[in-house]
Amino acid sequence: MTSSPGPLISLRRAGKIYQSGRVRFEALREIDLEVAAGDYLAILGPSGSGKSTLMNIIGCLDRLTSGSYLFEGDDVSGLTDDGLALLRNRRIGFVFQSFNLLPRLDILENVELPLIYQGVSRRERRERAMAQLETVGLADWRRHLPTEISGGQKQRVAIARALVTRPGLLLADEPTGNLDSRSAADIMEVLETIHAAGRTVLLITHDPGVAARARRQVHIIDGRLTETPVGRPLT
Amino acid sequence: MIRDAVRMAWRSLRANRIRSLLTMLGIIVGIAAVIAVVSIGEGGKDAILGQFREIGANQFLLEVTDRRSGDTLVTPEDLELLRSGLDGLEAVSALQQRLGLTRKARPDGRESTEGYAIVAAIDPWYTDILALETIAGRQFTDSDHHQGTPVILVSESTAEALYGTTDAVGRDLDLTLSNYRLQARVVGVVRTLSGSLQSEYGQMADAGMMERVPGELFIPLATLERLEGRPDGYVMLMAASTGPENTGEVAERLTAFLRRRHPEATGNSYRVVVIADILEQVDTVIGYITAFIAVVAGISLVVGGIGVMNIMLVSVTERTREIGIRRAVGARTRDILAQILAEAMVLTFIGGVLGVVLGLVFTYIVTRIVGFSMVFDPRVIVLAVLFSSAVGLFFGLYPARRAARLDPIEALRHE
Repeated sequence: MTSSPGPLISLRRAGKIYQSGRVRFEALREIDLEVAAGDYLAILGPSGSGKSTLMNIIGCLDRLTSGSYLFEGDDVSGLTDDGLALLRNRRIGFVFQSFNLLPRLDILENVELPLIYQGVSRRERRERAMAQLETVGLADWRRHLPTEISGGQKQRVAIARALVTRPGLLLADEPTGNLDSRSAADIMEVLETIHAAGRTVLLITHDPGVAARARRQVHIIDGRLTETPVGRPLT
Repeated sequence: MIRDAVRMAWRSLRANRIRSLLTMLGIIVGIAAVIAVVSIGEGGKDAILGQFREIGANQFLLEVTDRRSGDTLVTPEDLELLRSGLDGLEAVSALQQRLGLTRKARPDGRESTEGYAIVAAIDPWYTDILALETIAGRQFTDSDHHQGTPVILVSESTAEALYGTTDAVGRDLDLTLSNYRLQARVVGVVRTLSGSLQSEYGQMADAGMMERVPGELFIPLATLERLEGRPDGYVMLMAASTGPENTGEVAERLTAFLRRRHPEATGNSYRVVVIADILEQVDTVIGYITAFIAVVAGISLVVGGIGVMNIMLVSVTERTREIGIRRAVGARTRDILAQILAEAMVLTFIGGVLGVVLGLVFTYIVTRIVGFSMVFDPRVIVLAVLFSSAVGLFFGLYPARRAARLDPIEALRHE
């Protein structure tokens, strides 16, 4: 991991406006947010609050229409599509609510996927993906297809896939949204272990109970951000 | 990276086996057609031209086409003058062809069968131009040519047809030529290279009523002239120049000589057929036929390519989410482009290979039935497979670009 002097993520007066024809929608307004390396932050907000937009911005899937976004000190707004793809590939791991595993690939191949786009050799891919699968306890399932395992297991595979490139940031979008409570608790524990190992984890959720597990939370409502001190009861 | 793209393509094609196979069908049929047409065409060319090639490229025929002025546009005197020295002329031979009625006693002595055959009456110079290879017995001797003895040479197939054996030396043949009857004795069985030439200078319509005796029969020209009397002129000459390079030139010189001798000849009284020209013409015609069918096959390849494009578009739509996921984990636009292109190309490449195999099998069957030799040009095969892959590249480009341009966020949201 690079030891950058500044914060890992730095958003300044960040804004995102969607314009389609004459309809104009301001999804993010004047967002200021800093996330230090090694932090565990939850972004909490109801649906339609702009949290998905924020996650797309932070995850370098989308660009701001105003303000600035520095990732590891570098301005992301000037990057091309392929530059953003490279950043996602090397520095960011995604975990989605609906797992987003490729149904035709087996578990091991799913975990290997990001390494293909790094040009890593087949053999090294195998080895690294196996090692990562072991850390989530699914090495024995490597030849199974995603349809053959439970939701909780799927999310573990997704986490393994997100971490196989050793990214600076793990971005989890409602990672427990499709899980029963036991699996959800299980996944939350995994995320805590990852954070404990020194990784930066950013959690996006509408569930205050899930958000409470993070070290720090911010609220987003109508595209605006408010920081909530940890420990304060949530309404 | 390319290997990964191909591997991924292979897997996704295997996942939709039936669909992939059906999509390939257009390519398979197109390539198979090209391979079959080109191979069979080559085989046919070999079969048709092979024996001509053996004859040689320095020969030509001269026919008198103007029959109104009588048969006097090429006289025996003309021939003597030509033989005494026309620059570049190797040999010239006068040839008479007659439709002969054959009647022969059967072994039991009672019945006789009848048939008609094309009988060539040849002079001593004939064999300077076209070799008659002796299989059994002998050739015509000088005395045969001078005295017009009733002797006959038959080709193997003729001997077989008339006597049921190629060992026909010493047999008798009762031959009716025009109004004359000739009791001839077979003195030799020969193999000729001129079989296909028969149709060129024979041009005798099948009588239809009687059985056609296959092959060729030769008698000395002198023998025919003893029956019919010495003619005033000939309507058919065979000639050879000293080399293939001056054949056309010598043919022109010979015609010019005849025109000087016969001012009454009109513009198209003489027709010259240079064997090399026939070869070229046959070659050209087969080339045109091959090209035409190849174009039709090419159209089927284009149609197949459109089918590939259609299926790839469906496939891209179906896999929008997969593309979104790949983009999220770091696939660049060109990685997606490569993946879809690889899929289209693997599809058409396999289609091409299967098409080649099918085409060769078809060619093998056809050549076995028709009796051509199977001509196998590896360059055609390589070209066919390359071309089918190029079809995949071309028709895969549009779907691949559509896939690569998908917005990752939209694609991830796609159900």
